[in-house]
Amino acid sequence: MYRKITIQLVFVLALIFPLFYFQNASALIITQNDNVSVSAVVGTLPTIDPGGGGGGVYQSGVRFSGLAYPNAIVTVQKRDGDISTVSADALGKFSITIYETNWQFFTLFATDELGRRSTLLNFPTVLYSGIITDISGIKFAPTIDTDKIAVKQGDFLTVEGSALPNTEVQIAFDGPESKVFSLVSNNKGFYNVTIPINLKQGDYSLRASYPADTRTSKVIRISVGNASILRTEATNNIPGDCNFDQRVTLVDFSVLAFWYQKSNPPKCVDTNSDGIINLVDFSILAFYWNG
Amino acid sequence: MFNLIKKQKNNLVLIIGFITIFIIFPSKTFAAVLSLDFPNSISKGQKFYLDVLLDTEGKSINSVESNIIFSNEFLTFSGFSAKQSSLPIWVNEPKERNKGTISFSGVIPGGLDRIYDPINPNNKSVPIVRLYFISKKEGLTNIDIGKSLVLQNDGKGTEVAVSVLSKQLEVNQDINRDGATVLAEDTEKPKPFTINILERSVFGKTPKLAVFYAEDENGGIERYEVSIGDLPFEEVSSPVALPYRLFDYPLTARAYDFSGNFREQKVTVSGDSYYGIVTLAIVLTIIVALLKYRSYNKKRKDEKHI
Repeated sequence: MYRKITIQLVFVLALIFPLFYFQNASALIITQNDNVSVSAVVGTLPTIDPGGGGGGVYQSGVRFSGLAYPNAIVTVQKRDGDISTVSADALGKFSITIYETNWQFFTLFATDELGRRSTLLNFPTVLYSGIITDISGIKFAPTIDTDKIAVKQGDFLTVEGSALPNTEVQIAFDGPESKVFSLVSNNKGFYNVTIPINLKQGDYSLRASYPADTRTSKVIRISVGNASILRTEATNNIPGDCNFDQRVTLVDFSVLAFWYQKSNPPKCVDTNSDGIINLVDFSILAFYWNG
Repeated sequence: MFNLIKKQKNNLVLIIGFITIFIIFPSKTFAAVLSLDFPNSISKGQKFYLDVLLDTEGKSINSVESNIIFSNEFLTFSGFSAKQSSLPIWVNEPKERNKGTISFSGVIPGGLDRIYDPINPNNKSVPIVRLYFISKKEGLTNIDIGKSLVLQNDGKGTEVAVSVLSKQLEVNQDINRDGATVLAEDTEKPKPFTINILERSVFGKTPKLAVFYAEDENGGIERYEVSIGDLPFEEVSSPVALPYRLFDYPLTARAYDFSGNFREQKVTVSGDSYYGIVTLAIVLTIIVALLKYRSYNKKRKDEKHI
């Protein structure tokens, strides 16, 4: 009797544990900055008052370093809007030090040579007096753009962007079916691929990433159907882009904010098409934010 | 009969097994944790701050909505710090919308999943917002986290399970007790801000909007007031729908902080010439039609007389 109970309990545990581990695994998948490390460096910046004597006080600040794209402009924005920029070298390496004494919410993004922006990376950072918070290992996901927003089945789609030089980039299609295409960027970091679209009809999201890297480019939405529409003829295919400028910015946020908790909203602000404007619509807008 | 009892026993074992698992492992399943950080005790009449912290457990999130519940008998809400916040964009700035409940919501474009602390690598709690209070009565009081919503940065707004940790505060008679920070009186105006006018699209539902977001260094923005044309000031929330006017008109916005200091900004809103031209064209068409009808009637009457 007890043996049977034990066997049944083991059976139940065997059923539950894979579910439990899967749940944790899915939590890891969308971790944002998993290769980024943070450390403290003492006394590496000049003193605040060099003439003050008595050994001096070292400034505090934060140093961001990592990889973007060759000759990219890396922008560091503080919570209060202060902006600093630095150019990445020909290999895409960058390093920038910001002097700051208090806690700060930093947002970083990289702009490639053709003006395409990376996704935003946020760094809420604790700063200590006389210490440089060293945040290294930042790696921006590739940038991405397409020539069409709708592709006729059997037609071609050109996908291009910037990445690290001579590096493998994966282009993932997610929708009614999923497909991943791999390519290698050239020595200037550019990649360009024309893909025959033989996917099932429907809406797809498109992202570029490095293999085994959880960070991805901004998401591009395309539809596969009976007609091809060039991106230049596009009106709106980004959720929340209410002024149809292919960018999701504070302007779109303001329009959404006006309709917050109001009835009968326009289609463009109701990002999940549920007829209600609530925090979920703001979350979707924040996800597609590229302003 | 024996088989039935055996089956029921088997089911019971299965149910007990499931319950045991969920009792043993609930903390292991993913849930963001909202907690409060403030001194354990403070003096009566003292201004102090409370940080609302979020541990996302490594998951990237981009939206937070929460309610902080406190006793008005013991505490007065006196503002917030946008600078000490990880919500770059407010949907609702922290405000005591119901007595004893401060509600706020905001979004983080790009999302966040952790804090970067070089000295305390185990520190995982991101400060979401700093709230200011003034204590007004001695005794023990609870500060609780009410209904809260945290959404993943996944393009779908997937809800994250949230567990909350509330805390107790002791207000006593002692002045300047250790652990509490005395905050200076706020006499500074909010920072200068800009008023942007978003034009109405011809076929869109959204009216012409005035958009403004002010910031205050010491205690956040408590409310906005707007005067359109020469009308008196009215409390509003940004963005504000603007009326259609044929001619230009002034718009004045005031941002008040929690200490009553305010910053005023003024713009001239251009008249809706497009709508003016359309209205004028319609009016002229009606007048012309009426005149034509009148002359036609007159002509007919004259013909009848002849």
